[in-house]
Parts: sequence; structure tokens; C-alpha cells
Amino acid sequence: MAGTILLVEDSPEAVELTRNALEECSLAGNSVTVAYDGQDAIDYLFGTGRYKGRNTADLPKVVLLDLRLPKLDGFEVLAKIRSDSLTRLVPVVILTVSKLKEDIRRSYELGANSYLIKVLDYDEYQNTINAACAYWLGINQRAY
Amino acid sequence: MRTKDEIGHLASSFNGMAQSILERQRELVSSQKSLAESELRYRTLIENLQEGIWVIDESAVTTYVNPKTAEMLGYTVNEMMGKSLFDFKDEEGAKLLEQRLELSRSGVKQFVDAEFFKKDGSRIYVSVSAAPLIESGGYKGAIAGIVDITERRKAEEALRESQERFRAILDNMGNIVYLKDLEGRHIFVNRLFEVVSRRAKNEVYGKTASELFTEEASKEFDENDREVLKHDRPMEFEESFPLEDGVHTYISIKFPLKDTRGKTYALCGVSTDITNLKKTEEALKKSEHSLREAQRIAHIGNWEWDMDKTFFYKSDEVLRIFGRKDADIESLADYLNAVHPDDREKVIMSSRKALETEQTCSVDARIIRGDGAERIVHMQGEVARDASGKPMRMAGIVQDITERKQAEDELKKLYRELERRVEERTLELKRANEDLAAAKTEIETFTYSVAHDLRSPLRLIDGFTILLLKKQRERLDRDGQDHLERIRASVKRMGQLIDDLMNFSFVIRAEVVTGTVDLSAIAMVIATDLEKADPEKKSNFIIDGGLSASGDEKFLRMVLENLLGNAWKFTSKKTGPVIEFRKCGEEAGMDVFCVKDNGIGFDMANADRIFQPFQRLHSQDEFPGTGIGLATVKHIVQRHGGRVWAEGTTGEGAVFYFTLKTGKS
Repeated sequence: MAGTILLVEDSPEAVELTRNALEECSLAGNSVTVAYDGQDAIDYLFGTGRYKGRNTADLPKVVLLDLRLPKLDGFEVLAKIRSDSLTRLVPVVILTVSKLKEDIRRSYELGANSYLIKVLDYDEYQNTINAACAYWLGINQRAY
Repeated sequence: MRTKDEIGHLASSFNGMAQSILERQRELVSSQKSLAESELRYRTLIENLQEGIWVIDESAVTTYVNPKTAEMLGYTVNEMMGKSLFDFKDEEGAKLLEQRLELSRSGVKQFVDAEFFKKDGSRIYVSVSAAPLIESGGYKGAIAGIVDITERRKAEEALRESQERFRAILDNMGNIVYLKDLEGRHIFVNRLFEVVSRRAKNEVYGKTASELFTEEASKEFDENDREVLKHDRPMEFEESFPLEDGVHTYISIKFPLKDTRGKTYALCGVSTDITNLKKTEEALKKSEHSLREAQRIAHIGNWEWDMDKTFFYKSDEVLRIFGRKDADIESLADYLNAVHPDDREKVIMSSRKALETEQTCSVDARIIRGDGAERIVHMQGEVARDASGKPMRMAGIVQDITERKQAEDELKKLYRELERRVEERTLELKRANEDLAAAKTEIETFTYSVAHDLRSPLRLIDGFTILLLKKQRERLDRDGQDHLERIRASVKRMGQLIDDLMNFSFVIRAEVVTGTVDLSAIAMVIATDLEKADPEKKSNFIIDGGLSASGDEKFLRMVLENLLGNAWKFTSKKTGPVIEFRKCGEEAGMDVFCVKDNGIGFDMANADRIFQPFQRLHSQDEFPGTGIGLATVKHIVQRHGGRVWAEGTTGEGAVFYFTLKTGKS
């Protein structure tokens, strides 16, 4: 049941930390693909740009999407995912430092499946990531 | 024995006697002749007398009347002869006659007035002088001379009546009337004199003014009297006389009285009380004066135009306003001519309207004064009509409103200027508000970015520190590990600081949405959360039920989170900690709430300092914190119109008070 996690995150350090946090998840056989900006994520999903020719039917099991991103921000990426029949059923989990009510509301309105906060305490963050992995890659039933 | 001599003597005596008798006889004859002559003379005299003679006998029967008497009574002499005196009397007269006859019988002469009935039944008044006839010591009747006094008596009665009428008139007059002789003695006064002087005329007659009145009054009277007598003509004086209710003023007309020869024998005075008139006159004068003054001060003049007589009255102030002389304005036309040519039509139209429609005309117009100066006046007029509705009179006022008008214009100008400035300021304010709103958004974005950008590297520091601790543990000694833990603690504090600052900036800029907030319920939830977060700690929360306040729930929650959180924190080293939240009183129409703990307390010297941002009384090792919490609390309470303060004792505990408007339950 292993699958791909698409992590959209611009900071290499943050990517490294999340990769570390996802260690347990990876050990369970899941792979992590990183997109470093919004456009990169779209290219991956739709087989464009540097991902030209990629089999787009191979959808990630979950997208971990940061909101503050270069080129296209998280909201734009989310809107694109939800507006295309190819990708609209993919679970998108917002993973961000923002606690703003406005960001949370807007995310859900655009069709986010979950909203997680990257807390400052790494231990706590680790717990959050583990729980998300267990849920979205484990017990959750997908449409595809 | 008688001798020859005796005889001779006797003879001679006889001769003498005979001689004597002869002489006597001659004398007698002569005297009888003269008696008859005398009687004839007397009879002729009596019968031709213009005075009546009436003789009665002892039974009062007429024995003689002369023709005059008969004529007076309308009889002939013969008709009267033999008639009793009583035949000429009525019953009343008879009684009186009886008494008089009685007196006559006792020999008394009488001079009386009497009344007889004439033959034709009318009365005759006579003056009677009667003498009894006594012969040989006996009463033989009486003789009386009578004179007709009917005319005199009528004249006397008429005079008396006239005098009475005269007095009645004078007594009922509303004037004081008095007569004085040339020595100033009163010889006549009317009733009003008696009433006013409060003396009966009997007390007054024969007395002078100085004997009757005060020195001051009598002196004035005497002086005036003297003037009249000196100039010998009627004169008018104003005289004063003190009465009970004060000094009264009289107008006295005094004139000399002259006898038939034109000689002054007395002075007559007629005095009229004009005190009330005088008072009215003074009041009128005063009121006229007031009106003039009022007009002068208010610059209001009034005028009246009598259409019938074309009489145009105007008060002095009208002339002052128009700067013209009395002769300049003698008609409505003159008045209208003084109006500025450009405004004249307007005034005329307004007057015409008043004449036609019964409306009050009211118009502001410019006038040209006599000296050529231009003034602004307010004119108002009304038309008075007779019963048929025909205009009779037009009356109006004119008021100089130049200064007022100028002030008004000035005010209008100022007002316009003010309006312009307000508009300008409003626009500026609007721009400022827009700027502010933009700045606010910017600050929000900036704050958020700062928080985000600060928190992100902190996350990384913490994350990599953990990774270092986990993955490189065997390569680190104890000190190294300790240092890394310190890094993590600092990161956490920094994170907390960022969160608190975010909250604080939120408190400053976010809108307060007022509603009724259930403080008890919020406090309960907070207490439960605190206990859950630190289940090891024994605590005792005492929270009063039913506490509510008017305010913004999200903000009031922050207040209680901070205060209860502080109380929780500062009682953490205490055994048997107690934290209370209750209502502690009322102040200025607001409820006072308090959060009380028995924690470490504080020195009252720092009571104000603790509400300032970043002010902390303890080290991080003792009690961690950022120093933002109480500043946030203070700001929230102040934004709700309340105040916050604290009381504490080091080592014994602290009480935090805050006031809020009572919530509508």
C-alpha cells in the first residue's frame, strides 16, 4: 500500500527537517517527492516542465502543501488541484507555520482536506507528522 | 254860723263859678269842634293808610277794619265787619290764634307774623303788631296794624331754597370748596372740605388756615390767597396737602368774591385732588421715557399713519435711525423716499401686500440717511381696519440692523470658512483614515511576516538541535548536550515571545465586538485546561457562578487566560494553592472583578510597573514569561472602558482587579 508523498516546501532546511520527521513514514515504504515551489508542484502533478512525460495517472497519496511558496503560492496550487478532474480527488494537507484564522478558512474553502501547523517544538512536530502519515497514508480511504 | 260876708263871698264865688262855667262851656264847644275836626283827620288818615288796621272786641269779633285790610283779604269793609277773627283761620292757625289772644288778654303787646285765608281761599302772610284795648281795668279787645309780607316771605323762601340748592350742589361736588373772609377766616366750606380736613364746618368757621392745618400747608395756602387778593383775579395753583396715605396734590382755583359795589369781601377756592392724575401722568411720563430709551437702545423706532387725516407720527428714534429732522419726514411718502432707490420697490410692494391681504409686512431694506450714509433696517408694518374692513391706519416699526446684519454676514462668512475647513479636514481625515487603514494592513502583513519569518528559522534551529541531540548524541559530552538544551529553551522562549507579541498587536488593532460574555464559563474552561496541562499540580480554583460582563468574548477570554494563567504560574511553588475568580464590588456603574491567588505575591512598589510591556519581576529560571501578558490585559480592559490594578504582598499572594460594564443577562 506504499505510495508517494508530494511535499511542497521551498526551504531546503525545512524539507530536511520534514524528511527527518517523515523517517518513520518512509520506513513504512512510502517515498517522498519534493517540489520546491508552487509551479514545480503543478509540473509534477500534470507532467509538465521538468516532469514532462511523467505518468500523471500515478497520483501521490497525499500532498503536504505549504502556503508561502515562490512562483505559485499554496492557495493557487490548491485551487489548481481542485479545479482539474485529474487531481481534484487527491487529499491535500496544508502544512504551514500560519495560525491565521483567515488562512485556515480560505484553505478549507478551496478544498483542503486537513490543516496542520508546523509547531516550533520539533518533538511536537514529529508527533504531528507521524499522526498525519498514519492517517492519510494508513487508515484513510482514498477515491483512487 | 254863716255871715254876710259869707253870703257876699258865696255870691262872688257863684259869679265866679258862673263865669267859669261859661268859659268852660265856650272851651268845651271849642274843644268839641276841634275833636270832631281831629277825628275826621284821623279817620281820613286811617282809611288812607297803606297799612291795615284791624280792631276786634273781647270776643275777637271784628269791630273795625280799614279799607286796606279789606283789600288785603279780598273783602269789602262791610263784609268783614262782625266776622270773627277765627273765620280767617284754618284749624292749625286757630290754635295759634287762641294762644295769641290769651297773651293779648293778659295785656301783652305782640309783633308776630301771621297767616290768613283770603276770601278767594288763598293765603296771605302778614306782619302783625297788636295792642290789647284795656278800659276801666277790663279787656275790651285789641287793635292791630297789619302789613302784607307775602312777597317778602316768598323772596325769603326762594333765597333759602336757593341757598340750600347751592349747598347741596357744593356738598356733592368732587371738589373742595371754601370761602374765606379777607382776614383768611373760613366762612363757608363744603362737605368734602369737612371730610378731607376731618373737621366739622362748625369747627372750621371763623378759623384761619394756620389754625387748622400744618404750618407748611397753611403757609402755602396763605401765600396763594394773598396772590389772588393782590392781583384781584382768578388764579390757579398746585397745592399740597398731607393726608393719611401721604401728601396729596391739588389744583386750586382761587378767585375774589365781590359785593354789589364791586368791592372784594371774600376769597373763594375750589380745589381738585389730582394725586392719582399726577401719578398716572408721572407713570405715563416714565413709560414714555422708558419707551424712548428702549427705542434708543434697541434702535427701534415706531410710526403711525392715519390714512384719514394723512397724519404721520414717528418716534424720535425713527428720526435718529434715518438721521433726519422732524420736518423731513411728514408723510409715508417721505418715509419711503428715505429708502435706498434699489430697495424702495421691495418696501412698497410689501406695504401694498399688507394693505391688500391683512398680512404683516416685514422687509429688510437699505436706507439713505440725511448725511448720505447707508444703513440696513428691518421694517415691519400692520394695517388697522374699521368694521367694514376699510384700512384706517397703518402702524409699523423700523429697526436699525446694520450691525446685526454685518455680524450675521461676518458669521455667515465665518461659517462658510468653517464649513470649508471642516470639509478640508474631513477630506484630510478621510485620506488619513485610508492611509491608516493601508498602514494597518501593512502592519498586519508586516507583523505576520515578521512572526512567520522569525518563527520559521526558530523551528529549524529547534529541529536541527533535536536532530543533533538524537543523531550525534554519542559524539557530544554532557556540556555539549546541556548547551543544546539551552538553545532549545531559548528557542521556545523566543517562540512564546513572538506569539505574545502577535497577540498584543492583535489586541491593539482588532475591533471590539460587544456582547454579553459569560465570564464564569470561560474561567471554568481555562481552569480545566490549566489543570489538564499540569495534572501533577494540586490546585483549588474557586470560581463564582453567573459572572458576566459586556464586552468582546475573544478579548475577555485573553484577559482571563492571562490572569488565571499568571495565578497558576505564581502558585506553582506553593503547597495548597488557591485561585479565586469573583465579583468584588462595583465602581462608577461598572462591575469590579478580581482574580486572587495565594502565590508568591509582589511588592506594592511595583504595582504599576507590572502592567508595562516587558516588565518582569522574576527571572526566567524562577518563572518563565515574556512580560507581555499584563500589558495585554491592561490594554484590553482599557479598550472596554474599564481600568485594571493590582494589590499584592510579597510571599502572600496577589489580587488583580479589573472593571467591566455589566452584561445584559
